[in-house]
Amino acid sequence: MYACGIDIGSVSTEVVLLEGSGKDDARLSSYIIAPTGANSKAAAEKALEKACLESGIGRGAIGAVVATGYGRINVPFADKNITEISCHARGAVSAFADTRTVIDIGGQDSKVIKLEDGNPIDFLMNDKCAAGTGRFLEVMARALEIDLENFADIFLSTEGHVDISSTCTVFAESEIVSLIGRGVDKNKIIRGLIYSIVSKINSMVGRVGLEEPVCMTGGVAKNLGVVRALEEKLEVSINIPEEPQIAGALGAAYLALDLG
Amino acid sequence: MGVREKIKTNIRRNLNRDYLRRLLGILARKPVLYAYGTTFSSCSDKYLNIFTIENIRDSYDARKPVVFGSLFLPYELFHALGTVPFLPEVMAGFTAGLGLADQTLKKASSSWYSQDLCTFHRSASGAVEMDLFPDPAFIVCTNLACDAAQKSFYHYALTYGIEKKYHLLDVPYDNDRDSVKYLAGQLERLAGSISRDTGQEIDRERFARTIELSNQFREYALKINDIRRRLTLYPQNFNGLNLILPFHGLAGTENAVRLYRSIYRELKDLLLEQEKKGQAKKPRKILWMHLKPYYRTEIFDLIKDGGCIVAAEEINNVYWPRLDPEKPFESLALKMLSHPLTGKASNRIKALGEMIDSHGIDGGILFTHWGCRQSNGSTRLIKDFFRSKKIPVLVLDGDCVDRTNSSEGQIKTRLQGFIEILR
Amino acid sequence: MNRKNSVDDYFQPGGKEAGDQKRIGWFCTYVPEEIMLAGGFEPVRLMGEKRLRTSESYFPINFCPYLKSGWESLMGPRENLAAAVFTNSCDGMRRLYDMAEYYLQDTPLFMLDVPRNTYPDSVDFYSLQLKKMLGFIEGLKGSSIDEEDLLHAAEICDRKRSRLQELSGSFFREGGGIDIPDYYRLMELSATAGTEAFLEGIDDLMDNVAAAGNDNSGGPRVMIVGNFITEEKLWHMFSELDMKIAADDLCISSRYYENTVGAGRGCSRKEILDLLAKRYLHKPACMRMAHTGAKLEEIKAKVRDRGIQGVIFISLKFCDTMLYSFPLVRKEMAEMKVPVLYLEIEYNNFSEGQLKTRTQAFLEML
Repeated sequence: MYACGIDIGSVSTEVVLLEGSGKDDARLSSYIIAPTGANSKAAAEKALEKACLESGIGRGAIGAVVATGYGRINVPFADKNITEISCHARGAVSAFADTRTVIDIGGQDSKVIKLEDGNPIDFLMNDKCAAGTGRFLEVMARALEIDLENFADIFLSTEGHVDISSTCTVFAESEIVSLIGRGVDKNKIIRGLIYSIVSKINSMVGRVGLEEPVCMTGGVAKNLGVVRALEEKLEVSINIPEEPQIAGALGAAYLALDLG
Repeated sequence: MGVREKIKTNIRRNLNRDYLRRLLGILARKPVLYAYGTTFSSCSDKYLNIFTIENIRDSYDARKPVVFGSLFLPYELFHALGTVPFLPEVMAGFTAGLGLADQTLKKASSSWYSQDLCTFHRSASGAVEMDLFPDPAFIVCTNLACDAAQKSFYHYALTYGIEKKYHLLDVPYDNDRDSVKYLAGQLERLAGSISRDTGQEIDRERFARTIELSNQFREYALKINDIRRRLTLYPQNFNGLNLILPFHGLAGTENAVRLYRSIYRELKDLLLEQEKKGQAKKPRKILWMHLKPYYRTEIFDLIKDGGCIVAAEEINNVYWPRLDPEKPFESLALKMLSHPLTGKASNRIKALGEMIDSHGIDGGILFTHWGCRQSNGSTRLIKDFFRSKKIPVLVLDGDCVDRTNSSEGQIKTRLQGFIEILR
Repeated sequence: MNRKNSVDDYFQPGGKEAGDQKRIGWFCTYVPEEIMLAGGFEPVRLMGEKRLRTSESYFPINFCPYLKSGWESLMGPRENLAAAVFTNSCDGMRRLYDMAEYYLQDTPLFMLDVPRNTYPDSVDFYSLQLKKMLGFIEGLKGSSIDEEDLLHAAEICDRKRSRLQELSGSFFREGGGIDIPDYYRLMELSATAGTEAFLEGIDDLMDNVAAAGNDNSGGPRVMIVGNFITEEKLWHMFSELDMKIAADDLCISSRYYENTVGAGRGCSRKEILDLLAKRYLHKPACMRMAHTGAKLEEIKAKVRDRGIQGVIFISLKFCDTMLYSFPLVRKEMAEMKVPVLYLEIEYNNFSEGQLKTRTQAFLEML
């Protein structure tokens, strides 16, 4: 029996297929990460098709489907839609069962979720402001003319940093352009930018309250520079699932399994 | 590194209440304090710092009961009752000057204070959460001039476990007989409550003496404002917006009289010198409305370099009539009710008009501090008023306490543009 | 079932045409409708024009949306508005009055001073202010207002309040046959439809509602705490989610209809004003009142009595009073182990996706 989780974000869509009869014997059968594009309904369909192909099954083999993410209401074949909060929490717990805090930094938003016995008891979302999200890094990478993939290595191999005082992405961009113009070392700027994101996340964590163990999900978790900086600032070590970007869809799939 | 920079750095490195108390204890010893005073270029600056440090030291010492107060209270009352006032909003300004605001603001943010709120109150709330302030015995606030203090001060009361010692002085809208009666009654009740709690009877003579001292300070403040109508030669680093603490918090003390007397004398001498020298080009006179960034800023250098001076500030306007030592509660009620920020905006506009006329103001700067709705809500009316008088006015967006919420580049551009208009 | 299509249909102004009676606009629930009614005027709560056109040139951007929309309705066509009454409820409202006074030359305006404390001297002071307001209304009327007028007005208003309390009771208890958007639309109408028209229609509506029977919607029991919330998109959003509103503390509902005046025959004019002062100052408090401790106790009592599992704290953006109250409410609720969700709304900028996600996630948590 298969359960399916679909996470439709504004930029990317993830689909996860779990095989098993219950949560104890479930295993990850396949997953797909694809761009959402302009039509989220079509994107969901296409991604699901691909996932079925990978798992070598037909649609009929799927028991329940749970949709999450901002496009979750656009999935007519979903049995239920559940928010990313519950799904990211579940995704984190499936990888690290005793997780108490989940930090999710996605392309467009970031969130902090507090768990007790694997269930969310408090959360804070930032989906209004680009600061503290993957978008912030993208904008800055463009302004610096450095590939975003190189940020982690640069962070880990550089000493010292430059303080970026602007919290707003638009102002920060002008700030670094003028720093570059003054000949400031780009690597130090990159470290400063990473500390900027971390500061914003730290502030959110402060409101919800940090409890260990901490798990990080979302695409930005693949950026080891951000992870190290966050560990430094929060003074904890952070667990990262094998594929942090599919945590939402994975959690949705587990919740689909629960639906039976 | 200068003495002042060293002190600031040490405070940042040892940010806790005990350290602050010990530092103040050392710094406030007379010989040390006066030696520190010599590091200041002007007499007024020297005494401003000395008396400020003494007052803050007294509050940390806790030899007398500490009253947390919002800015526009009649502090004569607290001095008369033998308590020592502590002004969290003014301390928020100091957090900016000492480079501590980013820490206090972060703390406030983690404690769920929204970033739409005024940073004077937010920074003070953060400092309370970080336990940097002395322990209060009483918390007193008022609706003059804004909504913010009422709730944030209640939060302090909860945090310190003294909800029963929280008092809100309700200042009515209109300044009339009924209002004076209502407010005087509240002041008297507050005095009674504090006196009962401290076990000290209200000393009528001390009260009368405090009122007399307030009147003396008021006289000097009026004289200073009068000199500033003509004064264009100021002591280095003089900024009227640094006088918030003594003007409000020290009203009724000997120190306020000493300070204002010394400022008066210093400015009088400068005026004589100025009149002797004569002046080739008269600087343009600016009226500054609301407050300023309390962290380091180039604004005032730009004003000076642009051939302008700040001839008057709204916050230094002597708005109340002479107090009557025979009727202390009524007088203090009248003091609060006379404040231009009570009631209608037309009260404020009237006061600004009087300052413009008496000083011959050439241009106005309204600093629209982020989150200050009582002041910023009048922006349009103030602009229209200046326009009707054919005087240019600059609306400067910024943040008095949070430097990251302010764009120095934008401010400089606007200021320079304005100065060019004035010339 | 003889149910009308929409809640609005119950309250067409009966015999009187819309043009007949002069209306007085008011914003804040601390303004006694009784005094306006006694003068022969129809008190109408100004709900504001949600489409903001000119207000952004007059007010700062980070200013209460209700005030900006209030400006739009004052500046726009004002059918039969004989006057408008303001209060010094908050800094923003003071500024709205200042601006209206300066720019709106042709409409008489009155500023009612509402105390923040509720001690006996505050009640006395407030009574004096109500006397001033009475004088203002008499000036508009052109003749005096006597005890009979005031008593009659108080009686009608109390009757309206009782009906609203009954209806609300059943809505909070069993869902009471009326859905969330309709219930809050009804709350708005209770302050805008005209007193007689409302009293005529409410009985009819309540009969139909009772006939419709209980709505046993599942979902966690939630309490809504907020300021002036009239955004119908919000109410529709809530009705699409799995939740039960079992209590509220809002400017447009409970803080408007709870507590009665109770004036009886034989009261003098002064006594009636005193009773009004007492009723209004002691009704469930707006957050702007001084005694925050008492307000928190009010909320806690409702949470306990109605078995509330979660509190949704909704604020119109940029409301300092609410923004400062939130950390306090959160703390108190945390001690009761009741989670609180914070939502903020603006008029031009209703971001449904974001609000729905947060609310849904919150409900999933409960």
